[in-house]
Amino acid sequence: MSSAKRCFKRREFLQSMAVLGAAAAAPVVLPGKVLGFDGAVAPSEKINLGAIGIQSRGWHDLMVFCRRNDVQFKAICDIQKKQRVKIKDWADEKNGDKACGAYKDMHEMLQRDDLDAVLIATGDRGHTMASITAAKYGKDVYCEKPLSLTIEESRALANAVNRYGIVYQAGTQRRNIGNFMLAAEIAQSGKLGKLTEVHANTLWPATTQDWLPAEPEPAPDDVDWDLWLGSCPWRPYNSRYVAGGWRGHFDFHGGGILEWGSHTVDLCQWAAERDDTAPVKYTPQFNDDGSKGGEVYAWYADGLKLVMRSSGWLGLGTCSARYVGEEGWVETGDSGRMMVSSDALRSELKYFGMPGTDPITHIAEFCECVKTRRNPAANANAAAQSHIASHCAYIAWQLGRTVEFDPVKEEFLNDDDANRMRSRALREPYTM
Amino acid sequence: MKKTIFLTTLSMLFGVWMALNAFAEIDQELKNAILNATDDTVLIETISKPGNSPDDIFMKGLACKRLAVIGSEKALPALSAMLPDAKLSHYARYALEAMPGEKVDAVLLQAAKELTGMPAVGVVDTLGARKMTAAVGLLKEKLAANPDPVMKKAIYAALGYIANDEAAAILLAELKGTPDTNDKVWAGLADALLDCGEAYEAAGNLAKAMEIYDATVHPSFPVYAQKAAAYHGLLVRKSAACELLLSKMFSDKECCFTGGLKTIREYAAEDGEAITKAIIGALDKLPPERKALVILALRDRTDAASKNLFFPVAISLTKDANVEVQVAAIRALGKVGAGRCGEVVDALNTSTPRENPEERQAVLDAMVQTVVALPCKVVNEKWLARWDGLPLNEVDVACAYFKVIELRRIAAAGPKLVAVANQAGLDAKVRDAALAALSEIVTLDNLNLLVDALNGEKDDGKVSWILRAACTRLPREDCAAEVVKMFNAATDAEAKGKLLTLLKQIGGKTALACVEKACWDDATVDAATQVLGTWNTPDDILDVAAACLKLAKESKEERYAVRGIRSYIRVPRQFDLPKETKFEMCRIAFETAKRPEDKMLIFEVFKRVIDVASAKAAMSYAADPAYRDAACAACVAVAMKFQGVSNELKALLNRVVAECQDAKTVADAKTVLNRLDAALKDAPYEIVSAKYGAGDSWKNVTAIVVAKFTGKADLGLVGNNQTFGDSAPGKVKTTQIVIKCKKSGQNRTLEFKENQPLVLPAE
Repeated sequence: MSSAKRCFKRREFLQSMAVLGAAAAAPVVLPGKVLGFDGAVAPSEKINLGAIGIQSRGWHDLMVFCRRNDVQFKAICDIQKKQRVKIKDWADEKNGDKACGAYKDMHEMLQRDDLDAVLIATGDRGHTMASITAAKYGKDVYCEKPLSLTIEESRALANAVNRYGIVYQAGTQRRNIGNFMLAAEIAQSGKLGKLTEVHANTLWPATTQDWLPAEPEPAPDDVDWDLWLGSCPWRPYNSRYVAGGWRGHFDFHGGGILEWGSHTVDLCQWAAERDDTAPVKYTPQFNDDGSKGGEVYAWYADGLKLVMRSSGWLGLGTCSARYVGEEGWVETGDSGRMMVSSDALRSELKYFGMPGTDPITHIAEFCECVKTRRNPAANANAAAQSHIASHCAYIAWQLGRTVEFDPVKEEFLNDDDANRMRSRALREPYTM
Repeated sequence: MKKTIFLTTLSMLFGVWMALNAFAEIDQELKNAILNATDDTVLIETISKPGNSPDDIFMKGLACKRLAVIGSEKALPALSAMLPDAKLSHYARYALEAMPGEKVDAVLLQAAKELTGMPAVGVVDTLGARKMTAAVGLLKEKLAANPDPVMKKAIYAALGYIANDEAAAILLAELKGTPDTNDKVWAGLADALLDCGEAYEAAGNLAKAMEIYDATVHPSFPVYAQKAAAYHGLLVRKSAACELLLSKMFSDKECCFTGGLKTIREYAAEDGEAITKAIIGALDKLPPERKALVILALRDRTDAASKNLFFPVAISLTKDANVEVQVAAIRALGKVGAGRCGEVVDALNTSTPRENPEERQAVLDAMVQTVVALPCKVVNEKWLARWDGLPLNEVDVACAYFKVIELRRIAAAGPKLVAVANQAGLDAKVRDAALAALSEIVTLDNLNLLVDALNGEKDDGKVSWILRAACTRLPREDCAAEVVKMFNAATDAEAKGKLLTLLKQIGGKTALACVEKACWDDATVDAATQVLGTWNTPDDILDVAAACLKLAKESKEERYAVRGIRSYIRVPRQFDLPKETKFEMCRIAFETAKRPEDKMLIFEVFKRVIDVASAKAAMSYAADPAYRDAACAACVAVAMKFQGVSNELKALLNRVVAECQDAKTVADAKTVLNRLDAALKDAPYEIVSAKYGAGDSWKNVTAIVVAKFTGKADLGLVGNNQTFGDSAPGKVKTTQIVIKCKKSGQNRTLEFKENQPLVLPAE
């Protein structure tokens, strides 16, 4: 890497550090009439927010949005009546009126001209479709991760964001959190020497094809099961899916590599400056006793190795990432702590005291980008690439063998089975 | 937050658990046969059976998903027969859409001709997803037949995906007709046209792309589509679009303006100079809020010509009367001022703080962001040169000043910062800012500066923060030694407790030695044992475990002995250690623990190690009736997550079924046994032995091969050093597997060359 480029990276990092504290508190780092002053934001200058599919994680995100004085929450869309009512009641009480809109069909909500942005947290199965739909209506999108269920969905989402010129932030958080930013900066600065390996903390990859037992389908106004399924294959209703039990089911969930890879593979791609590509070879690992392990190793075109693993971490918290160079390594995780290979590297560290799971700064950056039209850190193009890498790893794991991938064509090389797993037919009448 | 992650993970595990248990009554044998199918025979049989009840749909859906990956043309008649069934049609397309080949295309085309209703819509979707140019004629015909809105929208989408000349012509012709009264259908046409425009753009046919984009800026289309078309129309025109772009800057429509901002950022570098010049020329005519946003957009233009043109403009705007413009200009200089840092700092140093507190803060924040981002060393010198005139009584200005020192780690500021920190009557915020800056620049040699500055300070969190900030980056053992000195000198119990916590955060031998010693001091034992039980630096965790064990064995107070054993078990449960080490630690803990509830904790360790050895280790405690069910539950928990097939695991599970008194555990054990049996039942042979090597050097790899054998011919292994380890360095090796045929009872030896996939014979 050239020294000029290193300098630039360092400066970018420091600038972000300067923003962190202020952004976490309020949007005071940005100018007034356009960008909003603390406590003095006129209603006409606020970001009018809608939300789609809000349960536990989405609720947490929504709270962070609503604590900002430059955000006005105006509408909720959920296929569950009890969620619609609960969130509308909460918003009305907070706003002191009865104006929060409540919708079952997202098209109806997205047609509103007065909404600027939407928070999407439907669960993996609906993230791509809801994001693309929102983009078509010109709404900026903050979407929980993972953003897609397949390679094809990842690309379709990025294309839609580019086409409609919206601001898109994948809810991966860590590109806006100090310890992860510093670790990436150290990797990019050359202080580790030439990078040889990047390690991403992932979970056990498997999903199940089984169904939960059928239960009587509720009235569509209470829970619209057909809308909940969206483009996914039909199966009988069970209340547990709707309550969050969809996780672990192949039709609705991308598996454990993607579950955390959407965070950590993304961090590795970022630290290694590979936001515009993906590894070219993926090899699933087996245990000593020959049983299938949970790890997948991957290699970029220049030989850099990406290790996706669930164990062997230093205990620095969930969603750990480790960057290894010829002259040293750095590892960090959601505890906010960092470890390095030498005292010389230790001198680069900084204490942040903020856990990696909090979306405050990530949402702050999104709000700034909504106003300035800048591309945020976890933008659709970068997130699509890290999701594609995670999907490729899961495909290799499912096949139980090495697959080779062309990141430009987004095709596997000489591997029909793998290529046939790049997409899933959508249930009619849904199209991307 | 940790709780949220924990609950999410728990929810995931619960979902999987539920799913695994939900369909205990379905035909598991058939399900496993479908999931493991390597050819489509059983899959075709499954989808060919009559019926579309939920149970039928489950099994057929499963088969279709497998056919999507391995299905051949042999499956086409059966899949084709499913297409008209509204309940099964999507599953049939799930397979067909993924399957390559002209015969698949032919089946889909025929279906598109014959089907009606939603199945027909689905097939049209699939024609589009497969980008079937051969389907364009048929789609044109269907469009001419005045289809219902859902079908019409699907046809538009399919033509957009296909996006060849013929498809584009059809779509443009539609645009010339009367707009559809259904908004969603008409919007679908706009989306399809954008698909075509992008396809031409990607293929380098910019003229055709421009034609389609311009056509799509059609008043009857939704605003978002017009905006997208206009934006892409600008991009493909490159610098020829300057006037058009400027008109966006002044447009009454906010969406046109914001689209223009994005365009400014994305114009290619080769068009940079002309575009940048034109936009700069228009800046003063813009209202301030737009001007500020355009400045930030100009900042993001990456070409050198743009930067050179924009730099002097940005410098002059740092003193703009309008705060929005001023802040935007200052922020822009963080990026475009890299080559001329001195000029940037000079400009910022000479700006006058604003009166309005919010405006003033916004400007100061922008200054901090910009100055910390500048790369040159001269910045530090120029920044420190401001010190003498620094108004310490102006809290916000002083804090911003120290923030820059903190983030840039300007070491030369050290002595002056100490003086500030010790200055009487200073605002607390200024003092804290100075201390925070000091924490980023002190060294081991002058850590005492920080300690002195903090001396006597009541710790409301700030002192701990500042000390930790310093210790985070100082050499670990040396830093710990300094903190130990502080610990030894402290007299207050609360202060000692906080320093013990700091030592835990630092970690390492010196820190641990101090904490361990404190565990045996009545004044500090409570705090020290808590610190020991939450120690989290992994490199010294085995030493921590030893200290915990000593506490468990030797402490005279029961509560500390209990804390010791629980902290000891936490180590194998939470930290990544070799499984043999974990099992040995469990054995020691089991022997040492006095209370049954503490002994029980070892089973949580086994549950987290997913392999046969862990199940076996858990069952080694089953002989004692008091722990039998817990041991069995741990064994089954491991087995449920274990992916392979192992006779040893089967034996353990049979023992669970025979001995365990807990009905749920027994039921779970039987479920896993069914899976193992089903996997092995159809296999025509058993694996007797396996070895890997050459000449006289062979390694017994039977356990690896047996564990990998799930009844399928393909073991999913490659016979090489990566799989088995290098048993004969420098030699070309072989894998030899002895199988016993169930029919004949005869043994047969198979040989595989090095790096050959281990695939057993079909029969």
